[in-house]
Amino acid sequence: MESVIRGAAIYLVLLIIFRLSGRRTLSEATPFDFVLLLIVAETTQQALLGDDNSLTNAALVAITIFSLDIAMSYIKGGSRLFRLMLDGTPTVLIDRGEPDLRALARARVALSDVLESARMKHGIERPEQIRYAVLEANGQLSIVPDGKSE
Amino acid sequence: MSGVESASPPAGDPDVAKGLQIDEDRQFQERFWKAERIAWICFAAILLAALAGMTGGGGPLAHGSAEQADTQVIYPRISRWRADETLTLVLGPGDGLRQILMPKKFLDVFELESIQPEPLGAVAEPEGLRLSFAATGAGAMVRLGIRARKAGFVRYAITIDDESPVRLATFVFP
Repeated sequence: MESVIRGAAIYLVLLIIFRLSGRRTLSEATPFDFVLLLIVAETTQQALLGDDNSLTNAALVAITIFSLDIAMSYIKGGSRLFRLMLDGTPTVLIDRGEPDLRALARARVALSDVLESARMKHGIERPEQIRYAVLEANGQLSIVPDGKSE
Repeated sequence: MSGVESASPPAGDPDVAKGLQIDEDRQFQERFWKAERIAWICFAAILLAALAGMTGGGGPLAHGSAEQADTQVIYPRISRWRADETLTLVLGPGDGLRQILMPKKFLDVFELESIQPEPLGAVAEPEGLRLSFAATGAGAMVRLGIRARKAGFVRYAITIDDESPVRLATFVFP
């Protein structure tokens, strides 16, 4: 019983903390972000397993977490609100060449991040050459260069 | 994580008109940004509370002190499940055999991991465990290493030498 409760509790706590800390936190990962991820894994590991190092416990915790993940994906498919809550929604940061300063600030994306992404993906030199920049729900920046659409 | 793709974006979606077919929900995003900021304030509040000891594991509020007659009891006010804690009894003046009755309610929640000094005797009684120690002089200390095996709120009363009991309470976080 305890294994299932532990697994579910850790899953929910991490889901809430990760979601609320903002998707920029662990996307576009720098090496330090990977270290953070390892630390989170290390600190939750004890709470996840407790003093019980048995195979049964490990298997139960793993099954709990994977089952929750599957259940979540079904709930997300059925409810738009739930999907928004869990995955978020894409945010248009540059709309037809016009930067949305409020969206950039609230999403904690610097214009230089957008430019970096534009350079890497499309070899874009100046902000005017960007038609759309979208912060996707998964935290990636997509860039649509000007002159491509329409 | 992409599983089931949602239906096509609602008709009249301004973003489709822009030429970018995207399921943007700016209204939700605005509300979520606000929720995010509120959550960060909560994170800060939780951290401050934790530093103050309100979540156990050390800190000024995690331990309490109670006095009864000449005896002082330093006990964990806030503890955590399966975390090691110390309950210290500073005995008042008196020579010879001192008796401490650890109540059943206490033992139901806490395991006694260690007793310092070793008791001369331990008697299981209906009310709990009666420990007897040889102690001399005021300020003699008895330390109990304890560990919560259950989470929740527990009230208990420790009796020393048949004086009136010291009433204590501990909250154990899961």
